[in-house]
Parts: sequence; structure tokens; C-alpha cells
Amino acid sequence: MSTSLAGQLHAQERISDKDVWRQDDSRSSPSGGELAEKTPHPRTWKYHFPDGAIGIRLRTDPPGWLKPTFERLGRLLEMPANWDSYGAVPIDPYRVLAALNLLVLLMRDDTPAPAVVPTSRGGTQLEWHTRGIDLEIEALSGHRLVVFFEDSSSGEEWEGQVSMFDLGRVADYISRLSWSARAEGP
Amino acid sequence: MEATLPDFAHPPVVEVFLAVQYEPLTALRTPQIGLLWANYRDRFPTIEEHPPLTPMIERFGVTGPPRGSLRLEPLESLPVPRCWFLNEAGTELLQVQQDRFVHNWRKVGTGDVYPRYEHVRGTFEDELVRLEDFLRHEELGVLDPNLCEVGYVNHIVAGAGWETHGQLGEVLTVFDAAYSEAFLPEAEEAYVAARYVIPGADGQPLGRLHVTVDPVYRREDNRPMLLMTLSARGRPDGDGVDGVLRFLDTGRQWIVRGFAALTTERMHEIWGRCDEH
Amino acid sequence: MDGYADDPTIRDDAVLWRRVPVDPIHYVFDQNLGRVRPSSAAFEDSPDGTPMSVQLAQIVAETGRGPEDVLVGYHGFALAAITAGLSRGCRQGVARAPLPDEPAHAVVFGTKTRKIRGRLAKGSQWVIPPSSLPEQPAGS
Repeated sequence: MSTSLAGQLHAQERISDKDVWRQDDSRSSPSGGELAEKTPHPRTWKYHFPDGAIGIRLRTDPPGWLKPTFERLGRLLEMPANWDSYGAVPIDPYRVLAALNLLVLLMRDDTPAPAVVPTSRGGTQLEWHTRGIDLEIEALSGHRLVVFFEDSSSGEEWEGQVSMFDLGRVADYISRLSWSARAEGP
Repeated sequence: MEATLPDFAHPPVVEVFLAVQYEPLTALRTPQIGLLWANYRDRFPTIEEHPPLTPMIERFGVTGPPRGSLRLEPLESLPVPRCWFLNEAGTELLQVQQDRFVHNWRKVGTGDVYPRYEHVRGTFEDELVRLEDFLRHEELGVLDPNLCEVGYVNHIVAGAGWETHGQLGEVLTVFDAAYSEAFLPEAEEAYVAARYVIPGADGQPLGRLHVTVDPVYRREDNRPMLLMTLSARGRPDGDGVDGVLRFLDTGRQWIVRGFAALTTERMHEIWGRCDEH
Repeated sequence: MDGYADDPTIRDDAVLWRRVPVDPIHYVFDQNLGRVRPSSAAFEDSPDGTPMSVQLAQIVAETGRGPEDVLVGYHGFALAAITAGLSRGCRQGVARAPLPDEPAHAVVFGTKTRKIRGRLAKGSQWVIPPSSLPEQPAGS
């Protein structure tokens, strides 16, 4: 009768909760105790850069691509202005966070690790060039991405902006990268 | 469309809020928020500081178990606070932080009457435009909205139509204690959470309607109560402030119609339903 | 693009040089091509809106310099080459834009979609390659 939507915090902005109180929380989920023992302890990594730190907290075992990608992305935040000798601006930490967020959301354990390159306007570009597929994703802001996809085997091609609100297209492209990787075998 | 919306003479609503989230305005720091207050001070003379809200998230197209979370920690030891600007009566406030602007109406005294959505929306629009003007004048950045939320908080107090938390079916149409076997007694309490996809005109998801019903107690007299919160959260439906307002209007319709669909006709009578339906 | 016109005196086979940072890594191992090449991000216009800067290899040679001289003062950079013809094939124009301290300076102007940047990157060749392979698998 109760559908748990834990993690789907809504209505954070409300202010009237002080007028009510709840029964003391013995009504945790039916198997809460057992699940808590079986769930791995969350693990946290931090990358410190000159103006702060980015932290990632994982509930699952970290896939192989995560730590090196996380460090490469963090390294971008140490770049000074004009790092490309053509007037590039420093990398925006919110755009690095968006790129990381995207990977944590969509990468599977068998997805190839992306190349991570900075862009002259302060963005972060993730690239895959493998098995006939070219996929490039740049975080334009915390919530907006630009995507380029080309599959030489099918001739399919797409370039445009997507919002972090609806990642269906990007999820499909990344899954095809993984599917392609699996289909070819070792 | 407005003429067909459910309407109640005595709705159980105790709070309504309208919110917009935008790309972080990193130049909008505590001193600048103090300057901003000067634009609101005549109507909202009281200021309070609170910890900032975590970012709103609403996502489609992603399946699979949640893996983890990320955060950005600025070097400064103190985050920029969320500031409340309150009116004299304490019934209306604005909440401002680097990536969020919220307008709340709340019932404070028993005599306070819900001023209706049009009033709350009008204040939200006026004050959001005022924020835009301030940002432009002080060269602190441009509002780039990415999510909006409208919420209604209802206190459904026991004693009218229901008495105990186990009688959730007297209030909600979706809760029916029609057990397949006569064994269980009345539930001590029950709570419900549901969400519904709000489609856009283009067929793509515009957002979600979130509904939660929690068994609680009223602090002043320990009366059993149901805390029914409905919020619609989604992407702006167009550019700028107009796009934000378009989503909020759509969200509000979903909330009002959803509230009527989820609650029983008996409760509608108690609340004085007065639209033609 | 405003203020620039394609210069027909720059032949299609004219070689244009572009500096590519090694730190941060601005090149990838492209498994589809089987080689290391610059990222498409190395072929953007400047953030201030000015078009992509390059150096005309012929002018560099005419001033008695070579590729290594072009990288003096740019420690940690590689050098990649594209042709004017490749640029024009990607709907770009090429114009001379000599600077007081660099007579070989030119610009490649025009809208650079992701696809176009990728074409430029894939069509480039190393003049001075990165001193080592990229440490990352680069999407392979």
C-alpha cells in the first residue's frame, strides 16, 4: 500500500512542517534491518582543486572507469586561463559536475571509458571513438548538453542540444556503445 | 480550462509555493542578497537565514538503480545561505538562494484564508521579474531556469469524514482496504506515495505530479491529521519567465484536478465543492 | 563571418598548423581510425568569438623557421596540420591575418558544428606529435 519513493524528495520548499509531528520512526521498510546489513557501505571520493572539491558518494562498487575518469575531470579544474594558448577560459566546475553526473547516471559497467577533454569555453567534452561509433557529449551548463553521434555502420548521425531533464537519447547512444562492445566480444 | 477546474469553498490547503531553479548565480553572494532585500523590504520587512536547499532533480530516460550522488564543495567554509524575506503577518515569504527563487503562502492563524492561486502567482511573477531586474542592474548574471515546481500542502484533520489514520479509504479514492481475506484489523496507519507523468504538448514529458499522504498529528492539540502534499515539478514550458509561468499554470491544474480525483466525494462535500462537475 | 573573406591566393593544398595542448590532453586514440589524433575540441573558435587561429606553413618557411620554432615558448604542445582544402570542404573560409609578431597567422572562419570540428580533427596530421600516447584509453 505504500510505494516507497525514497530519494524522490519533493516539495523541499514547503515551510509548514513545523505545525505537525510524526509517530516515532519504527515504521521503516519491512526488511530495513536486513537490507542495511547487505547494502555495502557508501564509498566517497573527493578531488580537491584550487577553489574547492568535488565529492562523489557511491552506493555500489565502483566500476573500472570511474576513478580514472573522476581524476581526469578533476584535473581539468586546475587549468589556468589560456591553457590552450588560444585564449581558453578556466573550466567551469559546474560543467565538470554535470559531466560526472551524466556518467554516473548512464554508464554501465561494460561501457568503455570516455576520453575527457576540456573545451576552450570552459566546458568538458566526453568522447568515444570505437567500433564504428563516434559519440561526443559536452556539458554546456549544469543542465544542458550538446551531443554529436555518428554510426558509420548504419549511417545514422545526430547533433543537437539535450537537457539533463530527459536523457533518453543520450542513454540510448551510450547503451549502443555498450551493446556494440558486447556484440563484438573480447 | 479555468472554469472547469475543481473548486472548494473550504479547501484544506495550508500552504502553496511556487519555485524556479536556475543555473547557479555564483556572483550572488550574501552581501548581494542583502542588497536585493532592499527591493523587497517594503513588502517583506523581515529577513531570516537558512541553509540552502539541495538541487531539485526531475529526470526522464534513465533506468536502472541509483548509483550515487555528487556534490560540489566550494572552498569557502560557509555556503551562501538561503534567505527568507517575510511579510509582516508571516503569511507570505520569498526564499532566495544562488540557484532558487521561491514564493510561499502559508496559513498562520485560523482566520487566514487561502488567497487563491491567481494572487500567489501574481506575487511570484512580480518578485521574480524584480529579481531579474536586480541581477541585470548589478551585473550578477542572467536567470537561466532549468526546473520549476508548484506545490500545495493540505492538512486534513480527523473528525470530519474520518477519525483514525487507518481510515485512509474514507479520504482517498485510491486506498481501499478491501482485503481478499478477513484477517487483518484496521491499519494503525497507512501512507501513500504516487507520481504521475505530465505530458507536454509535443508528447514529450513536461514533468511529474508527486503525491504523498502521511499520517501525522497536529502539534497544537495532537489531533490525527493527514498531511497530503501535491507538487508538480518539471521543465519550463518555453523561454524566460513566461516559460516558467506556463509550466506552473499547467502544474497547478494537475494538482487541483489530481487532488479532486484522489479524494472521496464525501470529503468534497465537507470541503464545500462548488464547481459544476 | 564578419570582416573575413576567403582568400583564393591560399591554395587548397596549403598547410595550416594548429597547436594542440598535451597537458591537459587534447588528443584521443581513435580506435575507428587506428591512430592518435587531436580531439575535435582542438578545432574551435576562440571563446571571445574570433575565428580559429592557424599558421600558414609556407609563410613560416619563408621566414626561415621550422615547426619546432613555432612551438618556442609553448612547452608541452604538439603541432597538427590541416589543409585549406579540408577547411573549405567543411564550409570554412581561410584568410590571412598577419600579426606583428607572427606574419604567418591566419584564420579559419565559419560556423563550426560538432561534425565539422570532427572532420577537421580526423583529417589532420601530426607535424610534431605528442611525445607520448594518451594515458587514457580514449573511448576504446
